[in-house]
Amino acid sequence: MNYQAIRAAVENPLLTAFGALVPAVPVYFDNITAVPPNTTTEYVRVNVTFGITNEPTLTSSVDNARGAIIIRIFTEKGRGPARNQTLLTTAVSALETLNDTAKTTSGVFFRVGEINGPTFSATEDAPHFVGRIDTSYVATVLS
Amino acid sequence: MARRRNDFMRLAKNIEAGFLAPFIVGVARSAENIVLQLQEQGPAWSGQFSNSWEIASASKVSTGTGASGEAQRLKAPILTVDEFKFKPEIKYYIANKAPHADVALDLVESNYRYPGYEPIKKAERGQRVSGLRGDLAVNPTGPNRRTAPLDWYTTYLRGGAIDKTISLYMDQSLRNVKL
Repeated sequence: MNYQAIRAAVENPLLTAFGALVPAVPVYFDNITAVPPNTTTEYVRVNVTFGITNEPTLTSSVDNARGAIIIRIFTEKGRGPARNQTLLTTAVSALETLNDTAKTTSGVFFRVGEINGPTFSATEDAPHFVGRIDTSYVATVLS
Repeated sequence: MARRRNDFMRLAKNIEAGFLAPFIVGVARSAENIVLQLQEQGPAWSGQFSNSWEIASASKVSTGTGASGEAQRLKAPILTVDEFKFKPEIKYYIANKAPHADVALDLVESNYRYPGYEPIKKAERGQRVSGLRGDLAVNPTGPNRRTAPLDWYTTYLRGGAIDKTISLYMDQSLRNVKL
């Protein structure tokens, strides 16, 4: 099982999509400390988690993993939801392109499920307005 | 004649109830074990969140005590034959009724302060990054703590464990059926 390849399959398109925006929006992945909590700078946080690896299936290929992708968009509070929703659209588009990728003989075959959200939240003290989406995925490592 | 027909109908209903019993028990055991796994995998500082899960059928609700301390097992309400056979298609709703449930589920941000007592579950130390409960940059000398990883709930829900639990407990119930 190549967890790193699975992680890369989802992280790279998101990094590319947010990097292509003008100005580019920083993306922080698991185990990377994001920008200091009191800044109003907008940023994206992506968490890729693994749920089940190699559950028995009817097919011969068992080198697969299921898990969740959680994307949170942090934008400035008190300015309405528009900017947050624009960045969420970028994230959703990047996830949808994963489902358009054809199955080849090597690499990682990746499919995401339904996308849940967005949901929005903001607390009194924190400087950010947070938009959140999550989805399930199934990834098969092809060799 | 009418009495004989009533007897026959009663017999048919009993046969049907007997046939469906393993399925009904299997669904109930699945719901109970989903809650058990949520209690095991979720955060627990005082234990109130772990004891605030609720399993509801169309007609009955089993609610956790909401008390502090170790997680208590929650029994699912048993479905009637009609509830199992007919709509609603969703047989059980599982929810957490703790006032701070959304924070514990990592769905919203919050502010945190030390409650004055230690967590009942082993905690991991680190520096909190955002206002999310589990969002910690792990560091053994960090000032903040978490008793479950970030996004534990979404991972459980979306990562396949819920399907696996249902099939496991349905299989277990149906294994005892002799035809």
